[in-house]
Amino acid sequence: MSAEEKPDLVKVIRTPIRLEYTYSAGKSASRFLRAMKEGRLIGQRCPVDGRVYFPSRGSCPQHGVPTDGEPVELADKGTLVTFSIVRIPAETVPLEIPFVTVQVLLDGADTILMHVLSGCGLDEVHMGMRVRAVWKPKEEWEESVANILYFEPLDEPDADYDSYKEHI
Amino acid sequence: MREVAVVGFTQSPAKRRETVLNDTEIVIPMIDELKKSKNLKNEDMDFVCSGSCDYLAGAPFAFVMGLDAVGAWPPVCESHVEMDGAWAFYEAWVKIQMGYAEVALVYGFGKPSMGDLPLTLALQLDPYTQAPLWPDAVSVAALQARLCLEGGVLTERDMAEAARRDRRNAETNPYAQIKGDFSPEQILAEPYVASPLRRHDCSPISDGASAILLVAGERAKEYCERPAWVTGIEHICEPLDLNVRDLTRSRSTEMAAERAGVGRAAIDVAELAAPFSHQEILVERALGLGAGTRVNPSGGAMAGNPMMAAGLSRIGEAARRIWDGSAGRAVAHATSGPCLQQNLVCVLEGS
Amino acid sequence: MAELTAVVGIGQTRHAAKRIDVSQAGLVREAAERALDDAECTWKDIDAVVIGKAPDMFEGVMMPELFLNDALGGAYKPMLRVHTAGSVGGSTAVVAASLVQAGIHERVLCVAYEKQSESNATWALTISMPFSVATVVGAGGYFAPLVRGYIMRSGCPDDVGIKVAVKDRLNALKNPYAHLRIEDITEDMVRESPMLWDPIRYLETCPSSDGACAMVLTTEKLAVRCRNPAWVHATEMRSEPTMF
Repeated sequence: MSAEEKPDLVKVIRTPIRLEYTYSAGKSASRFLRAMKEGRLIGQRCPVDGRVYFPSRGSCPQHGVPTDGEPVELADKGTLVTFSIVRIPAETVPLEIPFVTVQVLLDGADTILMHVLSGCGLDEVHMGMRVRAVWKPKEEWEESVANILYFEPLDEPDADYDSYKEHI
Repeated sequence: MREVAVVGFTQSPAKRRETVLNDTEIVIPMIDELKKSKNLKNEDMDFVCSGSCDYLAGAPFAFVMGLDAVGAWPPVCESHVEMDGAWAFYEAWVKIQMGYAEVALVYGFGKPSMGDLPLTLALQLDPYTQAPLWPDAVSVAALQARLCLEGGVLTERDMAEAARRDRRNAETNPYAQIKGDFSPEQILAEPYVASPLRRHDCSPISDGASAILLVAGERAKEYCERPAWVTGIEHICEPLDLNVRDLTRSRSTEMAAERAGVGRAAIDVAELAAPFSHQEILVERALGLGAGTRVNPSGGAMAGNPMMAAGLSRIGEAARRIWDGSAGRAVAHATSGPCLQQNLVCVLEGS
Repeated sequence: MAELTAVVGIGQTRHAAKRIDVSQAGLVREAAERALDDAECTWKDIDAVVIGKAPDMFEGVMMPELFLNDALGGAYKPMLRVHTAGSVGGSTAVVAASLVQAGIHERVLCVAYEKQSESNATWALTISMPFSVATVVGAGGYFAPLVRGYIMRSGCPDDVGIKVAVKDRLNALKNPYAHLRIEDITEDMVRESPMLWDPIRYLETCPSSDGACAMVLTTEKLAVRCRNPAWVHATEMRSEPTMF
């Protein structure tokens, strides 16, 4: 008797897997997150070429040297370097579609922050826009980048392409 | 075959739970130390290879962040194995053998404390018929230990002696996690955690990382006065299923040892990555080690088992004994999979 | 210094959204058997096996090379598992070639695969790590802003992606192993498909497929016996930092 003639042959089994992990942010991220709780955005400088990494992961990814010097305070405004309009939902992302994901180069930083944009029509979003962080109410601040709800357009002329072209 | 030597080795202390640093941050100072101590510049590295495991990290591509510790601009020739760093070492050795690289950096890292390691390892088993039962790694190893005892292959006392030796040797290893002088009587008086295994028969759960620098030919002497030459290296994998292989011996270790030429001359030092006392004995026998061999002077994986780095660290610890002249010929062992499924054997010699 | 090496056999599985007809072992074996047939050799002629696969979470098996080694005739042989994320298909071949180029083995079998239907690929790629803001949905969500940046930087026309999608799918109609077979594909069809992560449209993205590909690589001595060896002239891999 062939497989097709045997309707009760098992073809698929469901095997649920559940694993729990206790995750450490790490020293560098912890410093960054604690500053977030105070409403401060801090980056780390590479000792070799002075570039400011934000958020920092403890090491300069280009040179492979630790970046544990004095933190650099950054303003919460910057340039929207690039973006995407997301139209598919995911369980792990608590945002209503369509939403705009953005890469923001904060003034003073040399690496981009990934976040979301709100406060303007979808067709108004463009590269080079100047943007500013919109924070949750201060009493709700935690050790999390989510203290920034989203970025919104800033009433400033667009940034010069040259000022951010290396980051796209 | 080209002459390739181990010329540098750094490691982080094996720790039960590293709560402050994430895995990349464990790797950063360790690679920094290796680069500084060997005056190694980024442009000197022809090849970089690492070993790590997504399921230990609880995230996909976890190893990608590790590259921050190396520095990857201009872009580097880099690869990765989802295995212990000892196999990344093998891949690097191959890259040198084919003439592509002269200098290779290898590292392995893991933070198994983040999850439940014995349970996570159940996912290595057959996904259709065994993993859904969630047999934890300690119980699985215990099945093998039971077969060994019943088969008269070894005794509980043998296991206690092996554990004692490892923990006592570890007292001189600042990077080891479990150290102390425990007599076999003390060990045998303890209760089973999964019979016939007692707590002392099991390696600890350890967070940690290690890195090794490999250099080809005469250039090795630029990095190290007495390079540890790789004179033989091989690895063999047995079938996964516990029912189709002899669990009372490590046939893959025997085969790898033969091909690596372990038995060609006396072995002064052996560093074994077996994570259970009975397995350590099986590996020792499979390597054909004699009474003159000092086994696990570092304490071996039984004293500190940062998964994905433990095997690589054995190569490093064996190399150290060549460098300091206390050994002329050493063998290092790494293992992967349940009950010694896959084993790597590496022979190191001084000039 | 490297030994001359050639690809002497290739094999692929039929790619589909769900290959319910085979287990993971069956999937890789389908590709491997075809490669062995193409190379006119058998399992016992293989000296070593290299298995390549990206995140284990795509199938829910930890280090599946341990489970699959027997299915690939690797019992009591050397076996390596390569995982370089998205590039793993290529790097698997590079590692396999290096074993022959280094003069270590004469005949190596390499297989790369994914059986994403057994788990959930979008979930596996979108794992929400603590302490970070979850905004990236799947691989496309990560690449879309970079694609936009590329379009700006290069000044390429908006329809380049569309043209590529059509070209690939037309070629796929000639490939019996291809997953996506869109008989009546046109640029308009691609342009009108739903926008997923602006500027990437549904028909501009790859599907999530189950499939495997295998190759047999040999030394020059063995390759010259084969009909039409594909000589490996050179291999290279490069990585850069994730964010800088």
